Amino acid sequence: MRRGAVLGLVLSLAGAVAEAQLTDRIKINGYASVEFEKQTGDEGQGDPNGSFDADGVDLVINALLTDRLRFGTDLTWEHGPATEDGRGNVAVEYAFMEYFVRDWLKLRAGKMFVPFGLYNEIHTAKPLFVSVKEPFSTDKVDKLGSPVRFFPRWGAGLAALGSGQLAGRDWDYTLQLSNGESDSVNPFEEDDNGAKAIAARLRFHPLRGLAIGLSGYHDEASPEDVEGRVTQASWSAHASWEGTHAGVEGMYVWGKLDPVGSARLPRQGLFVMVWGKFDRVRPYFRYEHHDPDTDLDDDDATLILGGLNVRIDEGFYFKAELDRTTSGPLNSEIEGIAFNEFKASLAIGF
Amino acid sequence: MKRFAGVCVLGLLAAGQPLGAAGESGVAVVVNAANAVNELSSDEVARLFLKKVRTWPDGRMAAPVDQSTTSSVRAQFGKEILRLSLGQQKEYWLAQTLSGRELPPRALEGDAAVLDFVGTQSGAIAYVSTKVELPPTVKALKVVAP
Repeated sequence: MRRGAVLGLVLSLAGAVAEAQLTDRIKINGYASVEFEKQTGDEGQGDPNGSFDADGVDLVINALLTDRLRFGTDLTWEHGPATEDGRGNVAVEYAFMEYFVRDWLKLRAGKMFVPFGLYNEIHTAKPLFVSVKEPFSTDKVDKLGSPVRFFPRWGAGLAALGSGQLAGRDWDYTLQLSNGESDSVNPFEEDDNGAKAIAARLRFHPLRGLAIGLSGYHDEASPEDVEGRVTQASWSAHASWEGTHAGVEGMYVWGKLDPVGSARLPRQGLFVMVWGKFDRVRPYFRYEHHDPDTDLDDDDATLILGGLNVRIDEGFYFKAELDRTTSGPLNSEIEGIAFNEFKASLAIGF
Repeated sequence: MKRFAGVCVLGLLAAGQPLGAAGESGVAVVVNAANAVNELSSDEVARLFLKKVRTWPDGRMAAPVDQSTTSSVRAQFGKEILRLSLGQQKEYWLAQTLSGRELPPRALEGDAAVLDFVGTQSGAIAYVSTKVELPPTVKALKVVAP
């Protein structure tokens, strides 16, 4: 009887220790967002019906295997997946193993976000940004008339990243080698040609709250409908600053699609966003401009939006904004038909 | 002789001077007694706790330890060393975690649990109230202005 009680106590303590070790080593975080969009007129590329969107649910799981070794993954369920009805999608946003060598050198392998600009590595994590959506003019240019984005959202391969100080100021970098994008094969499993995609970003923090950076992306794709390869190259300069009562960020991207034997497609995009910070409320304004072909007139698209971001509770935000999209008549997506949209969202992160 | 954390405390002072000299804030930065480091600037301490730096000068991994988010010591440490409110600390770590960059330091409840951990981990760095008595396995760091 006494022996049984002792054994029970030992097992109980062992369980508690194991649980403590597990919670020390396994971290679970996540985020979710629900959106509503309505176009205010009948014409345009928006949603005239006004629709709720169970935008996404993400679980972010980290396993700290040793002090230097980490496995991290972000698993997403977007737009209310119901596989038997073929609705929504389930995806691995990232899943990588990371080995810490030095502060200036961490090595990653797996599927990762492409390190480009201000938004790509948080583009699904809606609680982290002020507006409802990320800027289309730099990060979703297919919505504004470009045939493909300046850079793919993900890459499967290897990365080196790190940080340090120069003259007492922080810097950080990420260098990524991946298969690149492909429309003929699964680029997270195989490459459609021998050329690897290279993405890199360097940031410097000259003042507290201020970051300036440069990003680049280069790949050669082999689309099924194009003879030979298409070189995709994009470059970006970006900056962000956030103080006690205000913030501002901006990004300029320029690049080209260069098919072998055909004319190259030069293009550019930029955005500038400002916001105020008044306790729980952040009013914001953003100007976006995208030129899908700089050699062609009357195809530019412009997006202007303003809204309010309200922190309801810790990690819980309500956003509401009004967007106005215009373009020249030759823009392949907007077709010169201006339209307004009301957008709102609830976003939570933990 | 009793060793109190208050021998090296945080406060505002001129560059290069121990922070404790100008006024006591009630928070002491502590490390394992075997740690060769005896002095850091407040910026260096902040970089360790924000995981902008993850190693000590000799290459060993640093193990920063926070107190719970309800702790007044944590609020004070955040204000004086990190220069971030509790809300700003949470936002910082939410952004770091969700973007896959870094995870926040482990958080322990109370000075006693923090001192127990620091006393057994050679790379640990933490903060406690200056009123607490330090065990022989833990020492207070001199924290100077950057």
